[in-house]
Amino acid sequence: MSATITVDLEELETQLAGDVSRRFDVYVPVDENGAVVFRRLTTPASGWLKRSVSLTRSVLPANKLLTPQTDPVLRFQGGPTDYEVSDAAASTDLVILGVKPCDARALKLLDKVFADESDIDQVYVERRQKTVLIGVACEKPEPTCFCKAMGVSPWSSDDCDLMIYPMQGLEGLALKCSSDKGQAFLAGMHLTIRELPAETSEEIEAHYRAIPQPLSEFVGHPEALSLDSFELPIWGRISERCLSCGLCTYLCPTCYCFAVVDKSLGERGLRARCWDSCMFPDFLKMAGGHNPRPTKKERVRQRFMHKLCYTHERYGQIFCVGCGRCVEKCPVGLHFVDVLSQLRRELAGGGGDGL
Amino acid sequence: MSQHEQWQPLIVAFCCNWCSYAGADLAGTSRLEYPPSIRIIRVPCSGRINPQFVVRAFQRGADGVLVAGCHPGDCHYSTGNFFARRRFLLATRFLEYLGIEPERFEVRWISGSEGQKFADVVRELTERVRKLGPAWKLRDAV
Amino acid sequence: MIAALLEDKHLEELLRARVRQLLESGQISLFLGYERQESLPGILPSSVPCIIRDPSDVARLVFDRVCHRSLVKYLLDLPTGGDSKERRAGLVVRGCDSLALQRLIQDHRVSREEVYLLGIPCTGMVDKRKLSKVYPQSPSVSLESILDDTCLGCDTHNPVIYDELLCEKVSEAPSSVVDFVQVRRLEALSPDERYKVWEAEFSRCIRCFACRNVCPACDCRQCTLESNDPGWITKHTSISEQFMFHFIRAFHVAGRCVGCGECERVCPMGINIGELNRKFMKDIRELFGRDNPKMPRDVEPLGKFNPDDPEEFL
Repeated sequence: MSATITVDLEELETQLAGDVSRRFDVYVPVDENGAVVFRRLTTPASGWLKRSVSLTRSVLPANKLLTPQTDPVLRFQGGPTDYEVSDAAASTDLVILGVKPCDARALKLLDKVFADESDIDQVYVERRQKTVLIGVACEKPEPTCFCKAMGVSPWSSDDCDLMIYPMQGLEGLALKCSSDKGQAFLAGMHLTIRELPAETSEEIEAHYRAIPQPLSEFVGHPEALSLDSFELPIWGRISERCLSCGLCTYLCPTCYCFAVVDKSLGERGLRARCWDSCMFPDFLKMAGGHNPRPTKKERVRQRFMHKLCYTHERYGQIFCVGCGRCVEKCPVGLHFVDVLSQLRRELAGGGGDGL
Repeated sequence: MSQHEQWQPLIVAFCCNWCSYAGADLAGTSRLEYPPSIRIIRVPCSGRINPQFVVRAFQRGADGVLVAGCHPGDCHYSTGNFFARRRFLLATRFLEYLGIEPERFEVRWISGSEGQKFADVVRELTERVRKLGPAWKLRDAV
Repeated sequence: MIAALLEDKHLEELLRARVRQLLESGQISLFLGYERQESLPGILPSSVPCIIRDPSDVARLVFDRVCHRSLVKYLLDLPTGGDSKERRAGLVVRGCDSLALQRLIQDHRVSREEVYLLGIPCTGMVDKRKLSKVYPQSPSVSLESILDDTCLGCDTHNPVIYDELLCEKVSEAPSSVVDFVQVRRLEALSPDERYKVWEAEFSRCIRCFACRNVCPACDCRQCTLESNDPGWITKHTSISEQFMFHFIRAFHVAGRCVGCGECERVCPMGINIGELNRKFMKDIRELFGRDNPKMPRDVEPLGKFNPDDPEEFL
């Protein structure tokens, strides 16, 4: 793609908070009580850009802004016989700044689900088209990060429109454009741009390449599971400690399940797509009371088979980008890396030995 | 403030069937005047009132909430209001802790013979809420 | 160095030997304990719940300062009734765990006879966040500096119920050391300011229900939050619904919370859930004179009354 450039940090900050914020909804990561969350940029204190690009990965993946937890579909109004329905699905021009390469890759995976030629989710596609992703290369990965093992490079600009390299020792802020949309967006800001010589560009890449990610080496390159893995005894064993909360699925950048839920207040109502989790006991429960996944064993198996097998069968890819959120946050350590290494042992014939 | 004086708050009152609802009845049959702000929900006993009801009322449009029951010792079911008293001692404090103005929420014991008290309570609560203006906290919308 | 702070090899040996005896003699059919997770490069050591059924597996058992979850709620997953022997379970209990178990016993969810309790007087678990700042680089840190805040304020180090103790009791801090500094700080604000605080906190909530699922006081067979009728909350996450969710959760454990702090520890979004629970604890103590609001009783403050309770509603 295009060459690496630098821009003036303050100039970019002013543009984003000013003119860009008038044309787009700009979301940036902020630190709230130690939890990094994306918030709409409204009245930022100066210096926000520097703070935002230096933050570690957000608790909720950036890409969840395109599939919000409560996503309106339609509104209804009126009585039982005479009612009106109106479209409530909306997409806005969005700029998400501070997207980590893992979350950007997750969007590429979600494209397969929602924007595949045979299977198009119109609202998602619109949002995708109207969103400018400004990535930030990972200066300081978390110990729980293992994106390299999942084929994501923490400095790659491939999945974003623009990429920021918040590396020290450069004059200005290093940027790279990686799409036409990014190019147009950058041009629209009329910043003073300085092209970097090729050597500096290589230095930058070398700098990021050299940042270690020990967990990735441990994980290696996981292989997809075959459908036969459905019957492995491991599922019963590892699921015993699951709490049946939805934390792992809600924090996962590649989880996308939702339920369509109507809520009515008097004569007005809203139908929305709301996040749902296969870890909840009532996820598949049917009206007649039958539950195809009645115990933790079936539910935990579903989570891992979905990511490691079903998505691979259907889309040719394991649905994990190695962001490490489940590794960090699962209350009982029932996370991707742990399960992968147990599976590896089990498939190698180790059986139940040394969980 | 002038628009607040025009504006009629919406007060939801949970009244126990045996005392407070009868008190409201008496206020009516005695031709006592009180603001038309109130919407009474009759419940069997103040012990039936789950504090969630109060949050629900605020969610769905109430500007103020009144919980009313028999005086302690007079409960039709002997002890229901003693339980309610404990529950609402905590609930009033908890609602306030969450940031709801204490003026918007009240618990009172009103007997079947206290028609005047019922009218006074409604008037005072309405005036207090009117001063605060429409409630927006906890309000749900679709 | 830090690793040594976390472990107690002697205690572990005692635990393993005792569990082996209990399983071999058939006194229990399974044991709920902790095992060390496979160590991952650069990642904090962590011990997680495990179930041991085979005496030859006891070597997996550990007890260290990173055993974060309480084990008692796993008892509810075990099959009950009939000729099920699964329920004859052994488990490790610390002070807070014993309170949590007492809670389940008082709520008739677990009977005392079906559990065999190996008590461990506990002097605290470490806080993962504090530990992550010093691990593994710092050569020497004091245990005190990395202990969990809840543990630092603990007044129930020793189990209140047990069948045997694996080590000597430790001296207990004076009862009711729970202070309510944060609660008082919030109480001092204006209603609008307080609303803003909670609005900001609750707006982060993703309703993963980790706080509920980990809570020993949340032991209902059917949770009201999952009932469609009347549907107190839906899956919609408007701020109004977030308030309703947190109101319900907090009120349902009011007077029943054992103060273990698990809800705060598991919250991925860092919401101050504990300050809701502690508000109830403080009010219950002030209004109903319960000196130790954490100690489970057969009838809890909201399940009874005193004709002389404070009267504010005349």
